[in-house]
Amino acid sequence: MASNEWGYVGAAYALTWIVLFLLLARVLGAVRRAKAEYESAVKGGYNA
Amino acid sequence: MSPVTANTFDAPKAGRWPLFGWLSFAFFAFAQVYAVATSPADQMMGHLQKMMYVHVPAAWVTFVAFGIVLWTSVLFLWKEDERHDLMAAAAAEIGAVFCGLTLILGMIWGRPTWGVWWSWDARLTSTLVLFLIFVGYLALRSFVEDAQRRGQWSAAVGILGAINVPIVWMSVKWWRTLHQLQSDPRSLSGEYALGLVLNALAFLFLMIFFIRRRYEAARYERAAEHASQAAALGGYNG
Repeated sequence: MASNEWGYVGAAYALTWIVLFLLLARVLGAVRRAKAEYESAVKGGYNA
Repeated sequence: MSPVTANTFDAPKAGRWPLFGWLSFAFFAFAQVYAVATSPADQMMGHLQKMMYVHVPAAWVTFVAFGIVLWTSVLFLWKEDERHDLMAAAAAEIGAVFCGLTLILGMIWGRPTWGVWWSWDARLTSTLVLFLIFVGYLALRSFVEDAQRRGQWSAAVGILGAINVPIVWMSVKWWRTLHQLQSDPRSLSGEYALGLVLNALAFLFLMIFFIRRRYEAARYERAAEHASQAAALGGYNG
């Protein structure tokens, strides 16, 4: 059994939370960008 | 009906998905604290056992995500509705992240228990192959411009990739591996099982949330492309 087992456990949990928050930021960022792009394309269409 | 408002290219609606996402994160936090706080140290692994609550659910939702890729890829090839292709791509992207997370968490668990970060045994190698197939799937999508061709090619890769999932699942039974047999709530004592079930549900809710929002972004991207094309062809009149 490893002497610093809590270190490995802490690293695993920290990595999980970091990955999930990065994924959250990426997905919500993609939604925000795509929505803005869509709204500007529709606005451009109306003004055409 | 203008091309922009045609069924496949409607702007999607977020609905109650943002609320679902925040509730999923809150449930995830609860499940993690519950599992760590209530499970006693294992006789063999000590507190390293607590890595089961992140590594195993991450692997399970990877399989679910690639199952969604399989299902929606078949639907796309059958019905040729682009929404199925966009859903497959969203599931592949989120599944690839969870698959990568599973691999790294496995390495962190393997180092103190096996004494090595990595071993080329059947479970680890087949999981790595699964990960690389879906990275390739995402790379393929970025190289192909034509939507129809991109959908067909990536559906073929998605179906072939998902066929690898049962091989990964059964690898610990078919071959002699360092990896233990599949963890299962029925084979665990009660003090460990509930934590695993709660975390599996939390990971599942998060996966559903991420795939749905990524799909929403893809639908907006397609709707924007069509709005731009409609504008170039004489103005948007939706």
